[in-house]
This record gives sequence, structure tokens and C-alpha cells, in this order.
Amino acid sequence: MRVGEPAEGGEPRWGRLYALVLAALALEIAGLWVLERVFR
Amino acid sequence: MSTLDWLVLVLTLLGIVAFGTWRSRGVHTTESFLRAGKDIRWWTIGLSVIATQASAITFLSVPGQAYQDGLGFVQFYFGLPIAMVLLSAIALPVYHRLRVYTAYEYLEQRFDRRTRQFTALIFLVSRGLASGLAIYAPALVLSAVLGWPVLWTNWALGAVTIAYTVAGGSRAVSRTQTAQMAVIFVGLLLAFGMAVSLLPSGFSFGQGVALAGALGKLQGVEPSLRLDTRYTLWSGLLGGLFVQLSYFGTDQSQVQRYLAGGPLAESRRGLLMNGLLKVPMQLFILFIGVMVFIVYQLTPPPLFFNRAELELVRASHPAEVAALETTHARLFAEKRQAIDAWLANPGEVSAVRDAEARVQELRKETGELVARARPGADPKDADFIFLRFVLDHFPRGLIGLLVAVILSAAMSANSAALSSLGATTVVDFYRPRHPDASDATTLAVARWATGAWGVVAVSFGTFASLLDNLIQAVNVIGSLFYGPMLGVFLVGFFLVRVGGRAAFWATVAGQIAVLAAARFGTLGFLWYTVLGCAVVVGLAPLLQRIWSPPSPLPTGEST
Repeated sequence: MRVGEPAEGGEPRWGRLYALVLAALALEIAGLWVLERVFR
Repeated sequence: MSTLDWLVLVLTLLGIVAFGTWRSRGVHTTESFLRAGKDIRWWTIGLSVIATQASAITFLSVPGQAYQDGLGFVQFYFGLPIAMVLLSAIALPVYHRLRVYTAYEYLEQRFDRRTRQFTALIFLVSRGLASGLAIYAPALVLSAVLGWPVLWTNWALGAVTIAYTVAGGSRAVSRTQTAQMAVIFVGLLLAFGMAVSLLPSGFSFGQGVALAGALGKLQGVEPSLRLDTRYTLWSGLLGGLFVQLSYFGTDQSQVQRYLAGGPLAESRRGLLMNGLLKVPMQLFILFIGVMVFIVYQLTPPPLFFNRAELELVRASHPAEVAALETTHARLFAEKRQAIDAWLANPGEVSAVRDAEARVQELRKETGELVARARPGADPKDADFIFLRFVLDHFPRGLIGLLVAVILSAAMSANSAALSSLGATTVVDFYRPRHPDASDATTLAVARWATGAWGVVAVSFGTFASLLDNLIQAVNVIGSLFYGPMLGVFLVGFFLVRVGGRAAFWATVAGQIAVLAAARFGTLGFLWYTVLGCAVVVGLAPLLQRIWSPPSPLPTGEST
């Protein structure tokens, strides 16, 4: 199975889930960076 | 601990074990003993994966780490979500297609039996030793703080874990872990709420966060490229990715959690759930440590959080300890004044920072006195900060629950380890030699192997007191063996021309290189994984070329 391939039988589109996990990580890193600067 | 605490502790632990045993009843075949079951859903897989990684050391050490150094440790986990995506996309479909029980079975299908068994042996040695330490470390801390005898704590904790793991196998491990994670989440939320409620009246949560920020405790991202700083954004993203790929991709204690026997989609969702939740969860545990720090800016903290150790030092050096305590009280009063001035004028932060620096200097001096007075004793008290805070400030009942959280974490991580050690022994060593053994015999061997590994691990933990620093020892053991394991799997997945002979000898060379570097070199142990992996990935194609040079092109096609 390749990243992002349309899944069979109503399964989620894995590429979108992978992107969601990576986007959440990016948001967390950005959030921490902002938090430190706000309260420095 | 009070009677109520004991009641909460015993009932919680018994309830968890009873729940897991009841949910895993009817384990009568090797398949059902080694795999959690076809009906297992993704959230159980996700919780099980998280519970396996979160050992008691996590809950004892991480808040203390945040108390001292702030949120920076969270960067170690930045590579984890990326590793979850890569494993979901690349390794998981291969494991599922081959219908393997252990990760090492893949190596026989891809290379040969000796490569599989050598890698499985590396796993058995490293996980067997590490799980012994992982049982002993919380037993040691709980003994020091609560006065429990360390040997009995170690064996009691080990015996309960061995009992339900041998009885219910992998299914019991997964089911029990969901209950353990529920207790852990509830305990952590209550600990956070309790820390907030301990702020004095007139001092808001927002002011506390601002104070932590002013004292540098909220720095969770360090973008510098310095190699001598242990936790940076880049070491977390790159180094952390290596560590998490090897741990989740090649360590059977994790592979067994997500290869539960159900559909590929459930395993994938479980791993991605871990990728989504792990960083926020670690951040939350670290933030509890920051809250403990804030509380101790406003109420006097102990001079040294390992009280039992300080009392031993006091017995031999009473005047020096008394002098340090007097200075500590004076410095706290000065810092409290500086904080009041900062509250009135938030621009005036330098006096608070100076006062905090003097307190830190005094803590360092106390550690030096401990090291001088009792050679061999641990001069650091970070692992005791959270438990001391709980015991000194939490109400009855809640103390019992928090101790249950720590013991649950110890049991969940170790049950997964024992189950995987038993599975690897049977699947990678017993079955290949006894292919005609009946299912009942194989199941009996699996149960015996799991129990025997439990006894080996707990016995090794008993001797762990000979080691200088337990937590460092756990990390070093992992680093010594993970590199070659990750290397041989990467060769299997990506270097399609490399055959069994080259892969085997490259793995042996990688393991020798790491052990030699550890024995004779000066390389920091965090680099062992990279070194071992690099030797295997670099050497395997080279050996393949020497032993089986690529065949020359047919004459007619040459140009």
C-alpha cells in the first residue's frame, strides 16, 4: 500500500490521516514556540 | 501512607488485574496467547502501545525533569509522530502481508534463519535486562520514600505482573493496559488539579504560568544547532526519529502490541493514535512538573527531595546540613519578596531570576555534600520531586491513587515486555526446532517461557543496586542493541539486492562495533544507535558486492 492511496471498502484515506498527524506535530511545535515567547 | 491510601491502592490494582484477567478468559490456544485477538479495536491497540512505552520511570522522572529544566524534554518525542507515519506506511503492510507473530520472522522470510535468530537473540538480551531494571527502578524509589523493603517491593511487583501475563498472555496485557491507562489518565488529571488548587489565594493560574515563563521553565523548543545540548528541536526530530523507529519497528514488546491479529486498518489507526496523543501527553506530564515548580516558588520546598538520603547525611554531618537548611530558608524568603515585587510590577523580573539562581546554586551544593558524605549515593534528587510533592501535599486517598498510577505504569510496561520475551522465545527459537509440536505443548512452552523470563528479569533487578545510576543504565542498554536491529530491518526493507549472508555478518559487525565503542571509545551513548545502524546499512551492500558481484551485462547489450 502506498501513502495517500484511496482506501478500499470505506477505509479512511491514509494519506490524509498521515497529514493530520504531521500537521498536529507542526502545530504543537509552533504552539510551544509561541508560548515561550509570550511568557518570556 | 494512611489506611485509606492502602485501600485505594490495593483495590485499584486488584480491580485492574481482575478486569484484565476476566476480559482475557478463554485463552486456550497458542494463537490467542501470543496475539491480543482479531476483535481488538484500534483504541485498545493505541492505548496498549502508549502504556507499553510509559513506564513507572516516566511518571517518577519526567515531572522532576520539568521542575529542574522546564519543558525541553518534550523535544525527545518530536520524532515519534513521524516514525508512526513511516511505520504505518512501510513496515506495517509488510508485517501484515507475511502474517508474522514477531518482527524477526520477517528477517527469515527476507534473509535467512540465522539472521532472524541473531536479531531475536539481541532483542531477548536487551529487553530481558531492561525490563529487570524497569521493575527495580520504581521499587527503589517507592522503598526510599515510603519505607517499603526494596527486595519485597521488587518481587511483589514482579510476581503480580508475571501471574496475569502467564495466565492471559498478550490478550491479558492489552486488556489490562486499557484499565491501567484509564487509572493513569485520571491520576494525572487529579494531580494537575491538585497542584493548581495548592496555589495560594490571590495568586492566579495565569500568574503562575507567567512566573514559570519568566524563570525559563516554558521553553519547549530549542532551535539551536549546538551538538552539546542534549534536547534540541533538531536532535528531537532526527535523533528521536531514529530511536522511535527502532523501538516501535523492531522491538517485539511494541510490535506485538499492534500486530494483534486483526485487520491492517486497526493496527494503523492504533499507531496513528499514538502519533497524535504522545506529544500532548508528555507535555501534560511535564506541565505537571512545572506546576510543582510554581507551587514551590510560593511555599517552601524541601532542601533535598530524597529525604531518607538527607537524613543519612545529617547523621554524619549535622552542622553542615543545618547550615544549608538555614541558608535555604533565608534564600526562599528573599525570593518570595522578589516575587511579590514582580507581581506589583511585572517588568521587574531580574530580581526573581537572581534569587532563583541562588536557590539552584544551593541545591547543587547540597548534592555535592551528599556525594562527599556518602560516596556511591545518588547526589541528584530529581526522581524524588514528584513523589515527595504528592506525599507532602495531597489528601488521603489521592496519595494511594497516585502510587497506584506509578505501579500500574510499571506493571503495564513490564507485562508487555514479558509477553514479548515469551513470544520471541517460542516463535523464533522453539517452533523452528519443533515444527511438529502440538498446539497444547507450544502453549505450555509459551507460558513457561513467559514466566521464566519474568523470574530472570526480577532476579536481574535484584542485582541492579550494583549499578551507579538506574535510569542511565536503562537508556544505555537500549542504545547498545537498537542500532544493529534497526540497521538489519532497514537493509531488508530498502536494499533489495542484499542477501542473507551479507545481512547477517553486517549485523554481527554492527553489534561488535557498538560494544567496542562502549568499551573503548568516548562516544556519548546517545550516538550508539546511529553508529550500529550505520555500520549495518553501510557494510551489508559492500559485503554483498564482494561475495556476489553483480553479473556482467550480456555481450549483445553492451555499448
